[in-house]
Amino acid sequence: MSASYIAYLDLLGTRGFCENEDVYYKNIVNFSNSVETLAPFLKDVGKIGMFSDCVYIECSDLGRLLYFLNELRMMLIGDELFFNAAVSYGELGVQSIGYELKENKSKKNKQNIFGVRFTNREIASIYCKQTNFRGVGIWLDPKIEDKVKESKYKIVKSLYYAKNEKTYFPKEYNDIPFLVTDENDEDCLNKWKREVLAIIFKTVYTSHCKSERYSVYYISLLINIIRCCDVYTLKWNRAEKRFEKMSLECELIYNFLLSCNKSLKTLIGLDSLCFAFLDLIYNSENCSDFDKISITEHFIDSFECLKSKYKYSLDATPIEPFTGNNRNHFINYCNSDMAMKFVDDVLDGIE
Amino acid sequence: MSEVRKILFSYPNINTASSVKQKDIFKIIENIKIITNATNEALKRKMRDGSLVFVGSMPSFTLEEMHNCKREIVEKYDDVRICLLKYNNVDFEKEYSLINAQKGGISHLIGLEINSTDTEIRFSPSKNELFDVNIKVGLSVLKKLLTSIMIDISLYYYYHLSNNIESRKNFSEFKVRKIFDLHKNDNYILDGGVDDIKYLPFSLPYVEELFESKVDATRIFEKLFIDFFDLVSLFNLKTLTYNLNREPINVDLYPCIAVNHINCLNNIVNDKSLYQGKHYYVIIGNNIEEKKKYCINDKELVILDAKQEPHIQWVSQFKNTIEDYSTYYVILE
Repeated sequence: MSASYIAYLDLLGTRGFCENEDVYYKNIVNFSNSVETLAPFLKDVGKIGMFSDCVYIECSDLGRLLYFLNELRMMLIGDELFFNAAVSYGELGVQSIGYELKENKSKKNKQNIFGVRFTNREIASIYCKQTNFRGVGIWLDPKIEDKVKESKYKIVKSLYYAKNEKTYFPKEYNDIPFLVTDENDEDCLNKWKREVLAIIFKTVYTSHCKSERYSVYYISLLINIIRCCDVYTLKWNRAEKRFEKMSLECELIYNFLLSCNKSLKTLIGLDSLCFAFLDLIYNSENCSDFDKISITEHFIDSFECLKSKYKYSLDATPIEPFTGNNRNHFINYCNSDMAMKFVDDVLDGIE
Repeated sequence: MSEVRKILFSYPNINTASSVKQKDIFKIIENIKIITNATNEALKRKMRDGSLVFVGSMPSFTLEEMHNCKREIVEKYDDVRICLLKYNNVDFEKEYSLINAQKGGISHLIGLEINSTDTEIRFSPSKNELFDVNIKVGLSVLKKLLTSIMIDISLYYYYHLSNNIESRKNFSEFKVRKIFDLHKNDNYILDGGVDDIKYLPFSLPYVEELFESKVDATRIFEKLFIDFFDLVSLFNLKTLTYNLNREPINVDLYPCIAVNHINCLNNIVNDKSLYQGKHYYVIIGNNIEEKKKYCINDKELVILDAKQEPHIQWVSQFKNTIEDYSTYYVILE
């Protein structure tokens, strides 16, 4: 039996749209137009159901399903709209109820109700996964990881912030790259990194001004972008403790972090963003160990969210923002550098 | 009239397109949405920082996607200004055959061809009589073109020109003729027989300067504002006669602009070839030089007679007095 995949996605911020009926209507229309535009791409392999601000999909081709979801989020960015989605194995078992539309003729039946019914409980599973995923992005069930790789998509390890009774805490998840780098595709949104990131930064800011429980959703998207940044051109000036050269997306993200350090200090997940940026630098082959130590020192002294929480409590450094052994590198860089400075201060002036 | 303008993008039936063509269309939509968003944001920024101080309301573009363009759908859109005809090798022109530009108050319609790699904006007459001009534009400079189109629209309404469709069409064609008469056509890249071009965005050379780095945006907009006013004055002399019931021109916080206004009118009056013996008056609400009296709402007003010599005297009086008054009328009879 061939595999079947299901996805459930929900437009973010709909409740906020309700403060203005015109905004709500415009956003729902833009959302449904985009879904409808992309729908033919899954014509032979899947079916899409849509109601208000949510969409559910069943598809036999995972590659095309992921393409659909990624294109949808690209298309919605221009409308400043975002969604969160979950993808897993399963079947929807959809049955329509009430009015039946057959060959463009409506066939009235005795019921005065229309809609769909799901006969397969897998919809409940995917709905719960999507609801628990408190981030902007495409949550991929770990069970389909191998199939994702087979469909030639790179997996990005991102994180979102879950919530228990008391606090928010980071949780890892798998996504596909948000800004696709394809040198052969001149028209991909990679060309518009500045404009796309400006929209995301603006949305983070405006949602944070409403409440930190809204802005925390965007951490997953920002980590996704950071994971895919190009650090090949990165150049650090150790003497002046500043970046001399970096790719456009790195520069934009770095400036965003600096601005958050000034204006959005209470952004939940700001520390994870800083760590993810450091992780990116640690993975750079063009950056020497001395530069990595110097950059680490610069970050821990400049970013209040790192200095206050971790400088003297390195064990509390979270695991999730780092890849490989980079968390240990961070702790070791901090330890050796800070210890060296401490001893230098003690020995200063003493022969 | 709303200052929201639509880019009407019609694409073929996606259901029957190949998956490669479907992907092309998706990319087109994504790119154009981002660019229209960026254009709207850039205009908002300019208005916030005071560069577009003369604009009263927020102009913006909205992208409307319409597949299988139907007559009954497009007739509703009288604020459509741009139709996307081509994107790289993907051609949509035949999708617009049902638009009737006479209906719904569409004063001018631009046929747009976008190319991913071009870096220029090229104007040519349209082979399709539906469109007033054909513009070939690189994706990287589309924002400049959209910005200049929006600023032209905003300036048209700022100067209280008529909302009547014939006036709008006439102004559009007048604008093209004057761009050539004033030798500003060197600022545009024109292809083919330019006599049949019926639309050029007047603001484009100023917007191109604005997008260069480290420029004085306020200075550029002031120059545009005054140059556009020259255009409006020439247009009004040719086609309209003001009357007493006309809405007054607001000076607000910029009396220097009002003085430029008067100086420009005076230059036009002295140019016999343009003026053709007409006479104009400036009326402001105070006793300066009583030559004639008009009453508006029982309030006695005074005119400054353009024939009075030396005119420098009354311009100076105007300067001294205008700061006390927020409005004045220009009368041509």
